[in-house]
Amino acid sequence: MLMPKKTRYRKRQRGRMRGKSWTGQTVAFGDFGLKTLEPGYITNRQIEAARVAITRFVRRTGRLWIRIFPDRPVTRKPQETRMGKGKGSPEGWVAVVRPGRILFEMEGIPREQAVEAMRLASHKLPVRTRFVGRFEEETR
Amino acid sequence: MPQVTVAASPRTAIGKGANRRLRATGQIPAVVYGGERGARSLALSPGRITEILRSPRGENTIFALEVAGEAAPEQVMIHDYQLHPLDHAILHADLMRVDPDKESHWHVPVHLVGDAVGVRRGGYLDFVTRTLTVTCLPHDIPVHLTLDVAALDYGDTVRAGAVALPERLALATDKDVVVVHLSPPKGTDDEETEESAEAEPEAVGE
Repeated sequence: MLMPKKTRYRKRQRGRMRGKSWTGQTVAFGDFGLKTLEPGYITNRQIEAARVAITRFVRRTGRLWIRIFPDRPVTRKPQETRMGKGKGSPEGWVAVVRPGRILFEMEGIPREQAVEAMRLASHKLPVRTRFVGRFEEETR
Repeated sequence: MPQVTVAASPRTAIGKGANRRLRATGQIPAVVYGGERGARSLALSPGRITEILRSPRGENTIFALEVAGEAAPEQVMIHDYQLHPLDHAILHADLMRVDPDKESHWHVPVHLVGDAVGVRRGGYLDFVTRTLTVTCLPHDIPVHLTLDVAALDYGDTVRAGAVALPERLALATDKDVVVVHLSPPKGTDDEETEESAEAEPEAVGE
């Protein structure tokens, strides 16, 4: 499962997820991509589930790029704990995505297969997504 | 090749607010620059820019820019453009004046033809560099460069220097840049991933 090898701090503040994605908005490596339309946290488990869904469907043909990395620790307080007494303990890792961010890219398979693979992957994710092709063909 | 014409009007209102109002009217802000004349702000129709970008030549299309109130059209190309991250509508276009007698660098897409031997055996063709930079006169820019990959097998690599160029073109990209590489099929894939799952990363500092 994806997670950083080293971190400077164990816990981090939540921050905000305002605005659109300012990097990673274009299909850069493959021919097809899955783009998020909403901001959100995507956990490393969700990324892995989506990756497995794609890999199983395409049966190791083609090539897959994961364009996000879960580098933000999320904490949680134990159940039935009163408020206060400090921040909870780290429970997982998430990638922060903003609208427009490409999550996955694929290459080496027909478009119809890529659409279906990305559809399966999108069901593992907590954000609304859209299938996109290389930039020129998607220009409105 | 018939000459494409794009009509534009001069734009005096600049800035975020003015450009948003302009987009609300169905036009987009643009700028034209290059050559001996200075940069000028323009407003034009995004539909024409989209048509040009979708044409076979794409960004390398030379077209006539007719600015309202000016006598002669200018020969320009799309130098850059910005798209909305979600709906991919064109937000802004940079147009560059083209001097037909001056050689310059141009980015030309590479098209692969042929069914590689290694791919038929189960390998994977990695298309690393999709555009090459060439030096030529503007009217000599090819629609694309063709690379035949039919003979490629496992481990074969084609570098930029090996791509055949039409006459009057010189390669500006480093000749050692890899264009395509044919990799053998992957071994056992990591479908069931290594479950180092919840091991905490090493904390540095703090």
